[in-house]
Amino acid sequence: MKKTRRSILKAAGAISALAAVPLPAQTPTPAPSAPGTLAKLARERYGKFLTEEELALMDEDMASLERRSARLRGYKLANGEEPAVDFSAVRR
Amino acid sequence: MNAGGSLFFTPLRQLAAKVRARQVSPVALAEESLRRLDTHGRKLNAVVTLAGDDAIAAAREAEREIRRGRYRGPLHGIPYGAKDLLATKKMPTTWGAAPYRNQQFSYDATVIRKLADAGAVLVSKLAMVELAGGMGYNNADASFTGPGLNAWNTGFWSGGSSSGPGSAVAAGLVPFAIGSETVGSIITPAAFSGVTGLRPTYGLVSRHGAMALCWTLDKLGPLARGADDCALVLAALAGKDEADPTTVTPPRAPRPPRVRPRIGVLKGATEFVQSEVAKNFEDSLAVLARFADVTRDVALADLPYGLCAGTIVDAEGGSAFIELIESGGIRELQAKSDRYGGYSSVMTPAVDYLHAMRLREKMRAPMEALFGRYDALAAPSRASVAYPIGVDFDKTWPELAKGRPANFVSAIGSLISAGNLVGWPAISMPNGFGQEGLPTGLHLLGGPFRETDLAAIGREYQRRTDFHLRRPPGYSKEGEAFGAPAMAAATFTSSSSLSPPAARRDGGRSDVRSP
Repeated sequence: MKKTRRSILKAAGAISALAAVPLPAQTPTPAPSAPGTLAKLARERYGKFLTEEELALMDEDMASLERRSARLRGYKLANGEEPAVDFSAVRR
Repeated sequence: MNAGGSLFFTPLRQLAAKVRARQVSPVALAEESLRRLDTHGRKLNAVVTLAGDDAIAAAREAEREIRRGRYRGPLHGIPYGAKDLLATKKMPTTWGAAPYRNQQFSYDATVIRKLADAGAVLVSKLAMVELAGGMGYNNADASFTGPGLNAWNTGFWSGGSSSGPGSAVAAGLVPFAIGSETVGSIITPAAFSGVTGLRPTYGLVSRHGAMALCWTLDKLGPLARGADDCALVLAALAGKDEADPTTVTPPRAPRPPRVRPRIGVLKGATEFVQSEVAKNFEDSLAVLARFADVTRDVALADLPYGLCAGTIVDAEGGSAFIELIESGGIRELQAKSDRYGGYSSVMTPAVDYLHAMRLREKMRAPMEALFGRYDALAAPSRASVAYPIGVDFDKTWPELAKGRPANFVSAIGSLISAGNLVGWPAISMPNGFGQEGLPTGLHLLGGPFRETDLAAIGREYQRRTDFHLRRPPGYSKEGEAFGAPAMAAATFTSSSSLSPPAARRDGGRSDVRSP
């Protein structure tokens, strides 16, 4: 399956695109040949908009997303570590 | 005075002095800028919409005010361009994307209004990567206006996502421009195009009226020739805005910039970069060491900066553009990968987003500790010079991948991600040239609301170097690139009969210093 820059960046934990940051050399684990769980769901939701070639590329994006998710969750956080969200009960 | 080319390459403070002294006419400046944008700007794919008569009217008003002695400050009468994600009521705001090419707002973004209040003259909405790159573009051809071409070599990209601001400033089409950065979109075009870009602290500049890609990461800032120019522009942009609740009143600076700043050099900053990038960076460090204490091998805390930035941009960007994505509207986008890239963004799990935001909070303390010891962290802005047009990014400069370990994480990429995640300011300054005659850049990350530190270091660095004053080939000689007797038309004398004869004394002499 063709590797896209997006899939490589996602797998390597770099940013999605934006400024096209330096390309990490890390090669992602080869994508599964059959669509994974997320890819199947994405195909069901959005497949109607895509060509066969684009579907295959989207599958790879979804596989990368799953790998990124696993890596992210590999960083353990304590229960009290809160997100960088500054919620306020009143508008400031 | 013959300034057609020269004036637009002149440091802003000097240009402002000429305007104030009525040696240079704001109307003539606007006319010349519009002419250049319409010719060279279009060839560089830097222009979306010209302000035309509205720009001339604003310039006339500026000229009238200056004539009457009501001088507003250093941006009064100075033309500028704005990345086309800033709302303007008199021009369309396309976000660089075909689905929005006729989008019209009924108001001006706060930064547009603030610059108008400062007397600056908006001459053009400038090109950008569609949706600021939020759909995951993999090729420079990612805007309905075409790929942003590099003024130094049009076979290469000007950088993104602020592609138009980069090339328009580089080619001397406007003295400054406003760009935006979510993760690298000011630093990159500044580096690739050989100009100076200043990304402010998050919350210092209002985002009201700017396209939201990622509201916890988006920032607006200037691209110009030098650090001093950027500081002048930023002074007009900064401040709390009721329309953007994330803006803050900047804390009073507890101290002026240090006489001898402390600069940390990012560990691994020259690993797997082009040799010219490494050499230029070493040369930059030698210059910095003349006025700063430079410490090598300073490492960021071991945290997943790129992973978090990517997750946050995908989740927030997916939400910001969910209607476009889920309606299939992204099929109209220019870049092939943008036509399906949004689907993985909207599938980003909420738990991943929150995990990334929790890790983001965790990044703050070690970064604060680091900046207790240093005033800035230095690295090359990018590992390579600009990418060639027509080649997917993941296929450019393949030699950089040779020998790179599979688990390699780019220090340069980490610094860009880390700086944006904590919301701290950064500057990219030209520091030399590499392959194909293309510029390279020096990236400095500063502490929160310490733009003054970055500007001070930048001024000192640029006082000792001349890279920010160099002009791309074809723009190097007066009038050559523009085909017009430019400066004769760029004085009050010809347009409004206000210029004293002494105005033409300098003869358009360039202001280049020796390194």
